[in-house]
Amino acid sequence: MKKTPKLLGRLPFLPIAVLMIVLVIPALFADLIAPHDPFKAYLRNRLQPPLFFGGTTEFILGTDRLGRDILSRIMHGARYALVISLVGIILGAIVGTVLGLIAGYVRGVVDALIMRVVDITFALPSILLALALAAVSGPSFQLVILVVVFVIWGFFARQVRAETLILRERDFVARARVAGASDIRILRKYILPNIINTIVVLATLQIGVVIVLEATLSFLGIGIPRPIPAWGLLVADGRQLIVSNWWISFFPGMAILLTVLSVNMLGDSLRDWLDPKLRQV
Amino acid sequence: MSHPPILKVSNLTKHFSIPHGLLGRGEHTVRAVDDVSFALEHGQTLALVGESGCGKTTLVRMLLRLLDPTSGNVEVEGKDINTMSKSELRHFRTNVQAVFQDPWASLSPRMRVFDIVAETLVVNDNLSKGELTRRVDEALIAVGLRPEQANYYPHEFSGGQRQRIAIASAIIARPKLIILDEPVSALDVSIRSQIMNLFKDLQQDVGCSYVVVAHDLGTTRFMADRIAVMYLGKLVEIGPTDQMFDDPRHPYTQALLSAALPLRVDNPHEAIVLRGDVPSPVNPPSGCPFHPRCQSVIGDICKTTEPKLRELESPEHRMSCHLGSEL
Repeated sequence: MKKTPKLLGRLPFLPIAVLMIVLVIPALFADLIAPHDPFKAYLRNRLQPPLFFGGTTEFILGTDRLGRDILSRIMHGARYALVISLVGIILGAIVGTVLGLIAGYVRGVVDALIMRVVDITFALPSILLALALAAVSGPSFQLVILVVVFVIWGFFARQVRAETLILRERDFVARARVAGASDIRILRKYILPNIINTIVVLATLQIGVVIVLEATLSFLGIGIPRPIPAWGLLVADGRQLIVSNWWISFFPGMAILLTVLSVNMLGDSLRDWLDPKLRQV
Repeated sequence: MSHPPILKVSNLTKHFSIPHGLLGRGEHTVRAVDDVSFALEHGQTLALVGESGCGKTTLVRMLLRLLDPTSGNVEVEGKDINTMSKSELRHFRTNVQAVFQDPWASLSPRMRVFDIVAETLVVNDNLSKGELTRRVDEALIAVGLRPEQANYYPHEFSGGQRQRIAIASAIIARPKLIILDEPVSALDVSIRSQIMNLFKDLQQDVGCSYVVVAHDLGTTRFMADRIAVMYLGKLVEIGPTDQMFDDPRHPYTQALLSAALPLRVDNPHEAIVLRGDVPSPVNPPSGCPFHPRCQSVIGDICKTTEPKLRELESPEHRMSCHLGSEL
C-alpha cells in the first residue's frame, strides 16, 4: 500500500496519544499496570485526595468512599468502554450495512420498509428503551450491546443506502451485469468495496457516541452491573460527594471526555483524509 | 442465409411512465424507443446515430438485457434474450459484451486490472488460475497493454489506457457481438483513432460484430458497414454507410450529415440548420415526428400521417419519410 505513510503523516498525533494512554493501553494491560486491585477496599484510606491536593503517591488520583484506588478503577473500566464500543459498533455496522445495501440495491417496497424502521429507531428515545428493557431483564452486558446496536445501526443503514443508490447506477455495475455477475457478487465485489471507507469513518465517529451512551446507561444503573468499574458507574459513585470529594467523579469524567474528544478528532481527520466529499454525517 | 443473424431486433419498444401532478396520480409516458427493427449479420458493424435523448442509450441497454423492453424482442443468434434459460443466458453473457463511454466510470476503482479483465470468465467459466492468467495476459496484449500491468489499479492509467482495459475485459470471453456505447467520445482526439483502429483490428482477428453508438460521424464512417439514424425513439433511416454518406434521403439524415465538418476546406457546403429543439418525447408531434423542424415538408401529410419505414432502391436502404413516396 502506497498510501500508508501518507496517512500516518496526516493523522493527528495528540488524539492518538491520548487514546493510547487513556483507553487502549489500560484496556489491554490493566492487570499489569494498575497500582492497586480495583475491587479491594482499603477502609483506612477512605476518601484520600489526589496527589498535589493533599494526597500521596500511593493513590495518585485519590480513593473513593470505600478506599478503592480511582486510577486503578479507571484503568480497569477502560476495558469495558473499549469492548462495548468495539463490539457494539461492529455489530451495529454489520446490521446497518447489510440492511442499507439491501435497501439501496433492491429499492421499492423493501427500501421503504427498512428506511421507515430506521426513522422509528431514530424517533424512539434510546434511554427510555434501555430503561424498559432493563426493568424486564435486569441490567447486563448483553443489554448494553443491544441498546448500542439499536441506536447506531440506522446511521450506517442510511449512509450505506445513499451510497449504494449512487453506485448501482454507475457504469462499472452495468458492466458487471453484462459480464453476468449475480446481484450478490455485484454487492460484494463492486459496491461494498467502494463504500468501505465511509463505513470506517462512520464507525470511528460513532465510538464517541457509544462511549457516552454506555457511560449514561451505567450512570443510570441500567448499564453494566456493579461492581464492575465502568466509567459511568464511577461517575455515579461520586455524585453525592461531588462538593466535598470532587475527585471521585471528576477523574472518570475526564477519562470519558478525553476519550470521546480524541476519538472524534481522529474520526474527523480520517474522514477528511479518506473522503473530502463526505461532510458531517 | 442459413445462419440466423447475430442480432435481430423486432419492433422493439420501451416506454417509461413518469408520475406527474399532486401525489403522482397522473402519468406521462415517454416513448424512449418506439418500434425499432433491424438486423445485424456476423462480422458486420452497425452504427447508431442521433441527437442526445433520441433513445440510443435505452436501445443499447435493452440489447444488453439491462432493461426489459415494453414490447418487441431482441434475438441473438435466433434466441430471444428475454426468455432465455439459465444456461442460454450464461452463453449470452459471454457472447455479448459492452464497452461504455466513460472509462473513468466503467472501471471499479477498487479492483485490480486483472480482476476487471477476468470478470466474465470468472463468473461464467470454471477456469484454473493458470488458464485464467494466460487468458488475461492474452487479452491485455491484444489491446496493446503489458501483462504485468494486470496488477495495477485503474487510477494508475490514462483515459486511453483505461478504455483499453475496458476493451480487454470485453473481448476476453471471445464474444461474437460487442456493443460500443460511444466508445471514443470521452477520449482525447489524439487517442481516438488509435482506439478505433484497435476495434477494427480486433474485428478482423476475431470476426466479432459491433453495434456502435456514436455522435461523431467520422467514427461512424470509419467503423460502420451500415448506419441507422434515430430520431425521437424511432428509426428514420438505415442503410449502407457509403449510400448514407453519398446519398442521404431522409431530411434529418441530410441535416445531420451537413452538420459535420467538410472534409476539404476548398469544398465548403451549405450546412442545413435545423430550427428549434428536439421535441419532448412525452408529447411527440403528430404525424411525422420530425415535421416541425423539417426543411422539406411536402404538405399536410407530414402533419397527419406517420411515415412508415420503407425500402428505397435497394432493400438494404430504408427510410421513413413521405418525400418521394408519391412517385
